[in-house]
Amino acid sequence: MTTKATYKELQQRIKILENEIKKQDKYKEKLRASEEKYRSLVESTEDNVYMMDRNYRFLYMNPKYLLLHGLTANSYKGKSFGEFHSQEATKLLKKRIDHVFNTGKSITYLHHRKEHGKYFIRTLSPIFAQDGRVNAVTSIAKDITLQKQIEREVHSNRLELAHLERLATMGELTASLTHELSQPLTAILSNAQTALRLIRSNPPDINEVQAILEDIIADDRRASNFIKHLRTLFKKDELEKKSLNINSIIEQVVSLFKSEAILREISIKKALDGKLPFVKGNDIQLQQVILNLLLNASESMMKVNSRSKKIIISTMRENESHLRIGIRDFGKGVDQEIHASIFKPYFTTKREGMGMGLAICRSIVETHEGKIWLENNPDQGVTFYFTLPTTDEG
Amino acid sequence: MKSDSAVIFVVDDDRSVRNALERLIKSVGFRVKTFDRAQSFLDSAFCESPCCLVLDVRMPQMSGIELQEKMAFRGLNMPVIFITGHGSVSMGVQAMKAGAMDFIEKPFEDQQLIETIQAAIVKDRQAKQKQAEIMKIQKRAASLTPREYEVFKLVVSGMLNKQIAYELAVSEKTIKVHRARVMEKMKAKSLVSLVRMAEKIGIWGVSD
Repeated sequence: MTTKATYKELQQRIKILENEIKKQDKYKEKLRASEEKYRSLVESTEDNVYMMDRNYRFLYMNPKYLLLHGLTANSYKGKSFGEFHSQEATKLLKKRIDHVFNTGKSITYLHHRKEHGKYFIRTLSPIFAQDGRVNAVTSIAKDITLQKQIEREVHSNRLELAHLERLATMGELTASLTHELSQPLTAILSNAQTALRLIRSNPPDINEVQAILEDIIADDRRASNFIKHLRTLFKKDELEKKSLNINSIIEQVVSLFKSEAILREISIKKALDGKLPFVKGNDIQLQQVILNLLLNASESMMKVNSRSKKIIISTMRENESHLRIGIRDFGKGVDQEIHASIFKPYFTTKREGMGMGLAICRSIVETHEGKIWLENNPDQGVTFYFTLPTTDEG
Repeated sequence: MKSDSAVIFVVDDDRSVRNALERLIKSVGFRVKTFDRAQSFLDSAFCESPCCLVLDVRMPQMSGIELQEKMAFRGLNMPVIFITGHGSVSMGVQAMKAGAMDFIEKPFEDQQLIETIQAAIVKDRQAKQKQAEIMKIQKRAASLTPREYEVFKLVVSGMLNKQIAYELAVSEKTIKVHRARVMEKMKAKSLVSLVRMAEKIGIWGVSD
């Protein structure tokens, strides 16, 4: 065995090394290209991307995020989140980052930046080290302000439409609403004029005058309550939902509808379950649904013999989570084929009316997470049903 | 003028309107009877003295117009004053055609209602007096014998005794006796008053 390698051997080894270096260079080049690819992916995106360590210090920010905070590529290094966010926002983010570090699971949430008026949907995801522990967290936030705006516009258009439809409905009821108001006014005027007479007579009947004044006050309250009640229906919607007793909503609508029913010679029967849980909802909108269904029911009975003109309103439990409201008429019925299309906008079988009533009913019921449908009664007419989710709050 | 025993009926489904109307009408000295439904008025209303009805047109179960028809059918003839919370022109026209005394829109001035009621009572008193007189005459006519009744009809038709005698194939003297009995039983002082009575109970005699 010679200790010295022959020249030939050396040459061979050099060759191998050169090949090795070439290979390495190729790998490097590949790696560089790959990194370039991923970098451009992160840097060209419209989303805000950053990476953060356990101490909430930034490890990386993409240009979009730098721009949002007015930072440059070199100035963010070592900076922590709290340095350019409010205390409140920082506290909230820290909690979320901790969660990702501790559980190793990503979270996604809606984020509203009030100072910019922007909405983001943000996902925090863990980055795992070789040993399986989380060593960093990435945040990718997508700006959904525009979507939010469109959503809001659609919503406000829908509210506006519901409001207009409600005004139209109230317009239809004008005659009976006026009558309902003229009753207490008649009583008040007659009582007051009688009281004047009694006071002028000799001797004045003070006891009777006192009774009259008490009645006047009661009638005035009755008129004011009615107006208050009307005003809510004329008013524009507020978005708020409250815990409501569906039976008392029905009672209110029926009291509004009382005169109209008398005028149309319809008797209204109530079959209300007194032990129902509350529902979460918007009282004005639910009143609108019931009022619409009452009007529809009475219009369906226009040509029916007055003795059998009847509407039955019922409430009952549908199941564990929902209750059901039914409005049954004894009218001419609805062909099975149009049961589905009856809830579509601009669908109408009436001469007047814009065909929006039932479409709006459905939209209201659906935003309340309920369902609305109709069934033909075995004997006569149809029943409209809708369900509403119950709530524990009361 | 104290309204003697005149009775005002009030039908309105609204309790406070009913109470207020009762007070108002009582305060000017009338007797008042109130009903919440038209049917209960029809079931129990009975009135010999002058009366009238104050009626809300829009009541459950029965419309005012319908009630008016039923009243006529049951002989409850009295002036009707309609009051309404939504006076439509067509409703008013219909009511007036059906013989309504007046058609008043709620809310109304007390004076308007009271004056209408007073006019209605005057009208009804006259109608009732006339009715009473007719009854009296009918009662007298009923006391005539068949032959006397025949003579009565022929006398008021303007026939002379001679003609009547010929018509009935009896002597003129007999007719004279019958005629005197008719005048006496009918309490008629003259031929003219006998003719008026006949008109009132709808007898026109035979006119060939």
